[in-house]
Amino acid sequence: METVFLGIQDAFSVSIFVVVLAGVTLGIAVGAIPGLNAPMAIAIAIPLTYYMSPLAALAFLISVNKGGSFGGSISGILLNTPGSPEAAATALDGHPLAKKGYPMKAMNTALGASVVGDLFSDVVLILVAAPIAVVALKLGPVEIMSLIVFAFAMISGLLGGSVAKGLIATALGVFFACIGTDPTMSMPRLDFGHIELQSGIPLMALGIGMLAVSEILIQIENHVRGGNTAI
Amino acid sequence: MVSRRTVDTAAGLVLAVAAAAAAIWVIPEQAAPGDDGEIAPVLLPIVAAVVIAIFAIIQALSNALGRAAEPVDFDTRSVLFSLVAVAALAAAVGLFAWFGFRIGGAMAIAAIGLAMRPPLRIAGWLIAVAIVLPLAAYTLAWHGLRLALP
Repeated sequence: METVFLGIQDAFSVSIFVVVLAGVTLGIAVGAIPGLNAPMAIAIAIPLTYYMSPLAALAFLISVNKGGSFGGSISGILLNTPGSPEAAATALDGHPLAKKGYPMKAMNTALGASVVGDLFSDVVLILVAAPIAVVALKLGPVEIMSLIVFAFAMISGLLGGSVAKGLIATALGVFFACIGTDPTMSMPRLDFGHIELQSGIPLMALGIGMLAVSEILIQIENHVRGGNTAI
Repeated sequence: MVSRRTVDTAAGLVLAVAAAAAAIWVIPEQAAPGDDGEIAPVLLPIVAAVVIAIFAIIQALSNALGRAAEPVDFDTRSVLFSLVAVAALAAAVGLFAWFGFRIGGAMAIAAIGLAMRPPLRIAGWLIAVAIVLPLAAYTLAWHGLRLALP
């Protein structure tokens, strides 16, 4: 615990606060743009850290990442187009609230939930990372396979409405995850000769495409039918 | 007018046929068969496609034979719109593939933006956020900072 307190003491200095403020601002700005996410913001920010101390550089990159995660919820709430995959659930509740005329309330709630959730997960990580690591080392192929089957069953069951639709969606996810290089034999798979597909379909591109494009099509159809749109 | 039940049944059948075609023709052409004693690269995609085909048929049958009376909320314009949307998305992917991100991407996004017909008061903002900002970030990172974006 002494190490933790020493870290907190270092983190609460003025220079680190300034760096964190700059990082969060950059992260939110990039994360709010659909298609650009926290890893991209970090990629852009890394050259800036060459001129910082190690502590300031770490604080800057972490704050860019945290800001990017929250920034994704801004476009998710206002446009129903999550700027990052982790903001997909935020769009489900946040966008309807914004359409009712409370966009600031939705964004403030998302910000509060992000801060509390992140702080809580950090505390949990510090406290239970070591015990979880002991258990994780005992997980073999059988246990991992059981976890995957359990996850698939939960996804299919929780999608609601129809279990068949849930299983179709799960299988579609597995199918899209197969695109790229086969991990066993390192052979290209389902890439149709495109080298860009050999590293697979990025989760962010898939999520943004599924959510943003469907919202765009809904809005275009509303225009065609002469109805109202979210814009 | 077309009922939701009819559309769901048709969608299930189309999905089943597409998944079966993928399992039989597309996947074996696009993945290596693998050696003896190893999990072949072709196995998992075929399993996924077969699962999709089976449950799409189940979905189609349960829709066709179900008793619940669904509200009529689809018309021929909706079906036509779906077909046009699929063709437009295919064209957008083609623009990306043939002309690259900077030209094809901007053209595709601009076309989608025009199709959305936004009010003039926010059209400029939409163009700035959807086209200019990503292009500027891409140009800065790729050409200015020489970074390979993830």
